[in-house]
Amino acid sequence: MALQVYIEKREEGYYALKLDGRLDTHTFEACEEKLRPILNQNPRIVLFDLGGLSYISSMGMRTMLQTRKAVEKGGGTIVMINLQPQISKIFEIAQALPEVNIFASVEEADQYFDTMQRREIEKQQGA
Amino acid sequence: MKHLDDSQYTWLREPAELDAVENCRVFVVGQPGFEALPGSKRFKLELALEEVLVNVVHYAYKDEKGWLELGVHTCPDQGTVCVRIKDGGHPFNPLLKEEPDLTLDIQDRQIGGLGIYLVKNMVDDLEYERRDNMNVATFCVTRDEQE
Repeated sequence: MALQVYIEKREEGYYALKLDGRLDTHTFEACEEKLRPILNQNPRIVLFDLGGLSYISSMGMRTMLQTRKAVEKGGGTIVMINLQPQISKIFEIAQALPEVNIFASVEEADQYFDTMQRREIEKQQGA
Repeated sequence: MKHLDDSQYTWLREPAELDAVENCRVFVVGQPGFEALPGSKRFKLELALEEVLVNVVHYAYKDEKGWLELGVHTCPDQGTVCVRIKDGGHPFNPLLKEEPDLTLDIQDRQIGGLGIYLVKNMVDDLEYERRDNMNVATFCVTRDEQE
């Protein structure tokens, strides 16, 4: 059983990653390999589209938590979209759901970040 | 579950290596009775299976080559699938494993130690016994009445 990782650079410092398949004991290392170059760039936003993720185990959770740790440490944000109920449940049990950054779609996430960015600019202009 | 005798399970024996995890998964999902479980329960069973097996592979044996045995018992009428995992390694009771502190902020948390914690939250019961120099872990998943 495999895992496919699709990486899209949406903007400078903003990466969308689509995980399809199973993130488990057999696939987490390959997944971490693919994430490494992105994490090395100190990304501003890493968006995980988990709509195609059918299974996650503690090893997979480890990858997700490590990624979140690394991104947040660098001042960036993790976003998750399209969580299947069973996947969401695992994050819930592990108390690892980000408080605000869960969206239904990429569009919704983009809209949120656009608004945030606009507010930031307005704030700077107003100051 | 403990009342179920080993003879009521269908068994697979594997070396205690990571490849065994996938072989065991294929064995379990191929059992009549597995497909009868709803998707959410299949997910839970697969997760518990992986976590317990990975623990055996990583921690049961030190340098010696080890083995593990996987038993499956299905009861389609009740919508129950039970899994029993045996190994001949060092005594390890997963029920006594310290639980991770999940109240800590992600940045301050130890990454890891989630496996058995997830199992306890996923299966209806998780039992452990040490017998004949073996670790024996048993857990079941049962379809809810409305499912």
